[in-house]
Amino acid sequence: MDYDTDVLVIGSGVMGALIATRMAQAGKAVTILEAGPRVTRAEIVEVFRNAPIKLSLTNIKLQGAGSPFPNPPHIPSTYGDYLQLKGPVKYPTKYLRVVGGTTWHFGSALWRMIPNDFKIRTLYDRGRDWPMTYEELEPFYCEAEAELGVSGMDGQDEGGNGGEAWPPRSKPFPMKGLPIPYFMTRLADQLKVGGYNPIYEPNGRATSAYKERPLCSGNNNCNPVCPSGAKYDGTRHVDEAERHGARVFDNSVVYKIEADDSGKIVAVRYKKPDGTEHRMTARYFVLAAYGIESPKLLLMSTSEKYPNGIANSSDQVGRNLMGHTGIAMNVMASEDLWPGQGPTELLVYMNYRDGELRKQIPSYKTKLRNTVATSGLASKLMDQGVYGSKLDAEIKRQSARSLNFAIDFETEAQPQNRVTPSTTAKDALGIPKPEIYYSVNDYWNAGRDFGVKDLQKMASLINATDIKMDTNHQDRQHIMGTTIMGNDPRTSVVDKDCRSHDHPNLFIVGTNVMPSASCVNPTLTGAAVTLRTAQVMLREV
Amino acid sequence: MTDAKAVVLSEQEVLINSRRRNLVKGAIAMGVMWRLPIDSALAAAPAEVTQMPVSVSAFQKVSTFLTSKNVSPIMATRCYDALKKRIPDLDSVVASLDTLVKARQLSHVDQYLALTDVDKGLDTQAKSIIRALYLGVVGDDEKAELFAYEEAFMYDPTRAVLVVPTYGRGPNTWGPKPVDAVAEVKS
Repeated sequence: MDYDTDVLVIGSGVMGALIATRMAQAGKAVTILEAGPRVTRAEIVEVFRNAPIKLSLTNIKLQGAGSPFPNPPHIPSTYGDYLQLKGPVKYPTKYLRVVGGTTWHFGSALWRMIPNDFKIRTLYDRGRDWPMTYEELEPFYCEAEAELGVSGMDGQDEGGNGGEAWPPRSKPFPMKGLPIPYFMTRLADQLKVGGYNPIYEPNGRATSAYKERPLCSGNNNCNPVCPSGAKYDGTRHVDEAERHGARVFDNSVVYKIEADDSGKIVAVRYKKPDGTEHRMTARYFVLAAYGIESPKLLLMSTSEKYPNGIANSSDQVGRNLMGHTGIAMNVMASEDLWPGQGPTELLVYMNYRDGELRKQIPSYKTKLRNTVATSGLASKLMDQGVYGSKLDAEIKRQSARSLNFAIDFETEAQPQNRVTPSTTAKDALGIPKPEIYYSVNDYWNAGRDFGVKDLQKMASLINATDIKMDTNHQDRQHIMGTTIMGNDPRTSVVDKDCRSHDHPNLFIVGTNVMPSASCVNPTLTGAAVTLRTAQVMLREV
Repeated sequence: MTDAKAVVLSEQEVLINSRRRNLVKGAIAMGVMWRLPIDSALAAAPAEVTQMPVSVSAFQKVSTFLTSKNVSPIMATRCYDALKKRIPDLDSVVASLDTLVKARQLSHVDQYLALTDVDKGLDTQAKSIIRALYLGVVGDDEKAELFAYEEAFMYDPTRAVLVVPTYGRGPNTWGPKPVDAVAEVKS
């Protein structure tokens, strides 16, 4: 039987591009279908500079005026009303449908999970265990760090206890860490007396020339786009895959996956912006469309043989949506600290990352934002009637002293938190928009109550004033779950190789396969798991 | 093998870019005027030297008073064009403010802000001008228009320490205590 391609990858973000690169390097015929268009860095930066509203993660309120990424009708932006949010807690996550995917606008925190994160059910009677251990994944963490070009501080205890290096690693970071901004070293000194152990976040910004990437130059614009390309994004591997012969079809929105009666996936169907329909066959398929679009596509792909959609014999597709639902605190420091120098994030506290306390409260990470806040401060001051000499003085004072502490809580996999194709709302191509039901449980609420007190303690240690707490379920845009991994086909969607339990030639990759969320940004873990899957695929494709 | 499609700029963005290019060309034609220090700029009778319309020249003069900053011909022109769409009687507002400044012999905006008998409507418009020049933006709705970014006055008070995002100073340029930072630790 002839096929259009050996491996067909749906989605061109970091996960799809990593698989495509490994397959193409091995001489396989690889095709990537990407729903969105290609964008260039220069265009996005220029659009950003010309936008009247500039929030760190682009503008949600004024989508048309503020988001630098394209918003064509065939792939509506998640900054608008595309996501149909249901349930008691909003999940207004942001992902990008462009060649290269969401890493275009990620902050580039690239953490490893710690060994206990893989067995939280066994240890703490919470959430789900992974079907693999940290030790099994560790070599792939090293590979992922090399592929994405991670810079970090060797020897840190990322477990949060201020002790020996943790988690265990068989190779050092590919690049040394970034210079630490003054405000972080000063704040670390002030908080140390309270037992808080500073951790400088591993990240995807180059500190030496690395695979055509320049050194980070402190543009403080990691969100929504790195102007120089020092920060990793998925286009690096899209380009690499293409150099090895992979084909990329952009503006190609996959809307159906077809399987034969034996369970084998045979083709996908996709639409172009003009509404024309196309079909492509392959020997192997990789679904890498991230945690909202991937389950939506699987659930849309119904047929007489598969009335509940593809890969869904467990009824778990779309379920177990997780995130790092958080809280935050704004304060005014008692001295000039000058946040906003260097890249946008780096200093983190995780004193409660692990331990018996996790039976009662979720693991959590506290981070200090490092963004230039001038625009928001200036607007607010003038709203308050501050003009003239005082306006300049207050912009300066508040810029030097305004601090934002943000907590990211681990959430548990809960089946009722789910993504489904909307039965009423459709995009311009007639494809259902995603409907998201999300909630938090008492475990999260207990974490919130604990975290508020913890933040207040930190504020008191720096003699902060003007303390404002926001406990309103902030979404951190870390989509996890929805095609969850496990050993039991009755309770999970893919096995530890990320192969669908139901379809032998369908692999699903991304942070959506993670059975537990930990409290750290999931991209590196998703990449490590993806590289492990690539190794499995190369043995049989 | 792709049907690559570039980002499509909105009509507004195209207009902004087009206007910016034209203004840059205009600035080159106008010479070095916008690099002059504030006193020289005011003394140089901008309307004659730069061939700005009288209305824009008057706006530049009032803007300079309201912000105590060097409002360049480019900045004045862009801001005037954007504000005029939302304040149709901008010229009369400018004239009224100019008259007020002369009549009260005001030499600094703080003196203006201390006045207690300014017409509320006029005061609102004066602050709209200040707001626009500080933010580089006119309006706060979905049709808000940007006319300046890196040059927006709100960045001036912290320019020595903080970058304007997307305009980094280069690798390893952060880390030491900023010289402008004065520690005032409360015990």
